[in-house]
Amino acid sequence: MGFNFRSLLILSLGFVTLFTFQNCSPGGFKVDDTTLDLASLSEVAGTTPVVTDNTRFSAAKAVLANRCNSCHTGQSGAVNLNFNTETEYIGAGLINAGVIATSKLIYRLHNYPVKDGAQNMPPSGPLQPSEYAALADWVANIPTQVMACNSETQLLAPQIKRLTQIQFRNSITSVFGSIFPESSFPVFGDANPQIGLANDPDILRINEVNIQALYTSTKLLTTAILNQNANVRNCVSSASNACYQTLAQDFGLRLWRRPLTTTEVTDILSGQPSITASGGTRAQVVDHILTSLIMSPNHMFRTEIGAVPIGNLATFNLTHYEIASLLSFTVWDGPPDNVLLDLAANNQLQNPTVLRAQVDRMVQDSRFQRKMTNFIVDLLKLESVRTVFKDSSFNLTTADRQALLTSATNTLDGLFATPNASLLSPFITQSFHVNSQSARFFNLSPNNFGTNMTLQNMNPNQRYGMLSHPAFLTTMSGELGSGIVKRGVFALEQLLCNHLGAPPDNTGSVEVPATVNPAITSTRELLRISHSGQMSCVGCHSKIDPAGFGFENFDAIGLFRTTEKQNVAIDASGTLTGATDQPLVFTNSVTYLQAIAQSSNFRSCMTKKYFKYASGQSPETTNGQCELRNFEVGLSQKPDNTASFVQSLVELRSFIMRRPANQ
Amino acid sequence: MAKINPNLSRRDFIKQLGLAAGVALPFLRSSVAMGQTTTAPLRVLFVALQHGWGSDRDVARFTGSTTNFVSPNPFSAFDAIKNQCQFIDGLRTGFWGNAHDVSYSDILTSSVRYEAPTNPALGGPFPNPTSPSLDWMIANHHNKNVLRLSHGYQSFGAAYHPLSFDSSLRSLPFFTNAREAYLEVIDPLRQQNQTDPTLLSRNNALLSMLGRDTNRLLARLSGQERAKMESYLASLNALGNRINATGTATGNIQLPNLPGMTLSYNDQMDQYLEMIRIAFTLDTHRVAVLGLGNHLETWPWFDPVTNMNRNGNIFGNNFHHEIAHYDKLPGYLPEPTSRAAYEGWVRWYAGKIVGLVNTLTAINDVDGRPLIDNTLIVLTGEVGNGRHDRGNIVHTIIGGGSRTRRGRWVNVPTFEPRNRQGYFWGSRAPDGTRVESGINYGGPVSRHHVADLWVSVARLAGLNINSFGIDVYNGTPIEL
Repeated sequence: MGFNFRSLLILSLGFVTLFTFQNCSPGGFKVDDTTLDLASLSEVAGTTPVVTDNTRFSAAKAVLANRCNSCHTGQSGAVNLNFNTETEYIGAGLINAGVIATSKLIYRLHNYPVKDGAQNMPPSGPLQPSEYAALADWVANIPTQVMACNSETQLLAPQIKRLTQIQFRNSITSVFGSIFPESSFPVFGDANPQIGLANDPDILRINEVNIQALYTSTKLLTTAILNQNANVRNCVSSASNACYQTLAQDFGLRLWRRPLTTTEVTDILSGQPSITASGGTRAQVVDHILTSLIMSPNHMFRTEIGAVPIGNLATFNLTHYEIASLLSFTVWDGPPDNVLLDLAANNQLQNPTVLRAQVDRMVQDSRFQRKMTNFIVDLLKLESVRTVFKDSSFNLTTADRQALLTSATNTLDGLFATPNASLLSPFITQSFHVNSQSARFFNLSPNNFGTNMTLQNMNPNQRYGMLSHPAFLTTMSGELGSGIVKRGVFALEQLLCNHLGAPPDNTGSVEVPATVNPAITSTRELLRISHSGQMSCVGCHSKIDPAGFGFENFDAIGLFRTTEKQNVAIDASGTLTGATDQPLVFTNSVTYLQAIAQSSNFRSCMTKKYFKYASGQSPETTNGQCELRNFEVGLSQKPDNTASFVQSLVELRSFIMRRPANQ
Repeated sequence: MAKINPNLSRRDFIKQLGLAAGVALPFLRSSVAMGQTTTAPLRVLFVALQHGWGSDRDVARFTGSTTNFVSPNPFSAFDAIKNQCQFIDGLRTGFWGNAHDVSYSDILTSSVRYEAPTNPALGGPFPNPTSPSLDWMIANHHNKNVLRLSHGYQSFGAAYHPLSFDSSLRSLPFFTNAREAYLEVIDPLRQQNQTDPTLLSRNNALLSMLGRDTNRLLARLSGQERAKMESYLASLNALGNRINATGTATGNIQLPNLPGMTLSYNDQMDQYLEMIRIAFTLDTHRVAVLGLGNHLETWPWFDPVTNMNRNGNIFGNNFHHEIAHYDKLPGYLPEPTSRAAYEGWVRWYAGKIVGLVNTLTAINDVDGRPLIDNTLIVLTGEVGNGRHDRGNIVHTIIGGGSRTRRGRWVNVPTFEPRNRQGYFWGSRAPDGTRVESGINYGGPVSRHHVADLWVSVARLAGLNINSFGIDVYNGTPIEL
């Protein structure tokens, strides 16, 4: 399948369209494709002008003044083309530095085919070859490292980030090895919001509940370490107390991701005398050291705050160790290895060349592939397949649920392990890992599979991408029914980044007329009768329902179907308007999922979601929008693969420096 | 700089009672609770039931007089313990927004302002309150922790509804399964029963070091990032309070075993109630909050339309609309079958509360009285019933002994929305301005906000307060 994430992302960059939903009005939603809404970008463009070649820019400006600016002043709905700096043109999404083909200003003026209803530009007649050459020459020679927002104030915020459960496990096992029983690791009880990402640093906390779990688990972890780690055992059996300091420093460096200060080491060791005086053994002293290191906020929280109190006014650099940690958790969801720690020790990690080289190294590691898998798992809420309530008639056992989750993660692992895998790969695959436990959910016979997972090509008329995987469909459905509204809301909010308003109070169903027999009426039709057809509901449901109808070929546990109830035909067709640049027209679930995957809005949304997942910062703030835009620009200039996402991230200025906390 | 406050040694408590650590104490029916003094403190259990306990201005009306009354279904489920109950009929809460979503943060704080914006960090479309919750206030007064338990009490993917807030308006976490709660409530008691002379010194060394570490990092933070570290520090203090107690706290009281990873809905409910009993008995907690969701799958009820005994939701899988709303008829009239299912569902939970009351009645507290006399159980909800009634929510108060006047139905006076006769029915906007409700339709609304009840509960629990929550909510406290 020849879908190219990069090219469709570029198209989406060329069309900056803002969807704003304040309430669900019966009037529906407007999509203005012919007028750029620059309100959201007015703060994106930096105040520092970027002019790389006065001559070229002046020549281009002359063309624009002569052929465009009589109308395009930003008044009367016409896009403003009369800026003073190159940065403003970039920030407005009109040009991509160094890339003519994807610069909207260029190809719109070159009479490329336009959408229905849009005028060719300029309306007075095509550009002269010399006029076009001046514009193209200007754009082509703008250095590609020019960023859309260049002001030093538009950096991301300083932040501390609590380790997720996965990161905690990776941190411990990377230092001490895989020596721990599964039950040793704490469960932090974090929320898993249906819309949004569970790894959001703003919602991950240590609280009175999970600190108990952390304390109890740490006891189990240290017990295993005391029994199995050679350095620890040697220190316990030693007669000298010098090894206590060595353990604190060596394990501290790895767990805290930076060298401990003299004060910190002294502080940890200050407990030894009292423990010994109360009759404590050497093992108990070492246990104290390990417990202190593991439970410390320096382990439990990653910092991106630099070396000074973050209340200061100036922008500041992250420390080299913070950059090492940021890079390793971005790529591996785990702590920095010795290579990164050495580079940090030698103050190398604020060098972009060094960063790029490390990214090239690190993305070859399988931990990167697992990180990408974890991103999709979080995005699609696949973990919830283990806990979502289901009607007993489905006979969904614990083993079934685990098998579905394993099928999904194995499939994702395999996809991301292929060379040049892209973020789109999971959404276009038609092969899933299946075993005898999970086969029935794919409409396959369990007799054809063993207990181990094997990659199986699916019926192309039934499955398309992870949105057709039973793990996702089971999670995103009702206890008994397919959950049209639930799936529709998820698709709109989580996959297409549409923001829906809250439902009005006292919404409820109306009685289905006696003339309608629910047993022979489709769920889709019953929804329309009892809910969606009401005046107070139609405004939102005219969009939500089509987004959910597209999944109707799948029941509440992901089985493909063409009928329901007493042989009632499934209608999974529809047209989704108002959610994407172009209406999505589909005839069944497969064509619906194909339409989503091909949509530039989907790709743009996935980019935004990855930015949020990897950076931990909201792309909705002013500075977040700026860096997201820079991220998108960087991505558009790279090959279409997952490594490009990381490279684009580390190229951001915010990767090595931050703005003051109070801005 | 914040400090860690180790709790008073439980060994010292026992010594005050003239008992040595480890002495065998009578079990259960006449077991002695480890109260701190011979004047036993009041324990308070707040129980919030999703969709409410079934009061409605159209159905389920009490009849009779204050002390000679007939409880309607489902409140008649409490008839066996009627002499322990007060039915405050009813109290009002908010009047704007989605009745459920706006109310969770408001139930125990009475401080969500009119059309306050939602806070996504709470996990759903829930707004922030502007003052702490009553459970936190009572526990803080006693320097105790609160046992917060969520039994499927959630929506929108949040792990639990935001009921409880501290003085920094941080949403306080709930246990979401019995195993987690066990590790906090029961396991430390087991550990305390083990002889380890180094445990105290090791715990003190650990907590001291972590406290200093945290404060060093805290000094470098501001804003929201600082709040994360403050949460860590507060949690550390709470942990210290638990793990620094020494000596045997349980005597011969039998502790339950660690619950399994997965429990049935019924079994988890029982586990939770057992932990509350132990926590109150041993005075490890004086306040508990129990949030009850709507994931109960089977409950018996009688269908008056078909005259058949039923079980669970016979309509489908949408409890909220099909059962709790029970308004499947045109014009939102109550539909008898759905209403009957809803009442049966409430009665299931009521039965569990009755069981807890009976258990607490069988336990003698440190002052020789039944533990139920030193316990206040408050039944509340974000609405009066699933039909979003917030104008007249029946609150049930159980226990309290001689502190309260039990066996009563309190018929709280009401006003008509169309004709308030000068009565102010409103709130405060986020900017502090007074906002009067513009609703001029619907049934009678209570002249008392639930804040008037919370003042009374707080006073019984030892807090000397004259008002609670938003000022314009406060009238005269409900006399209990």
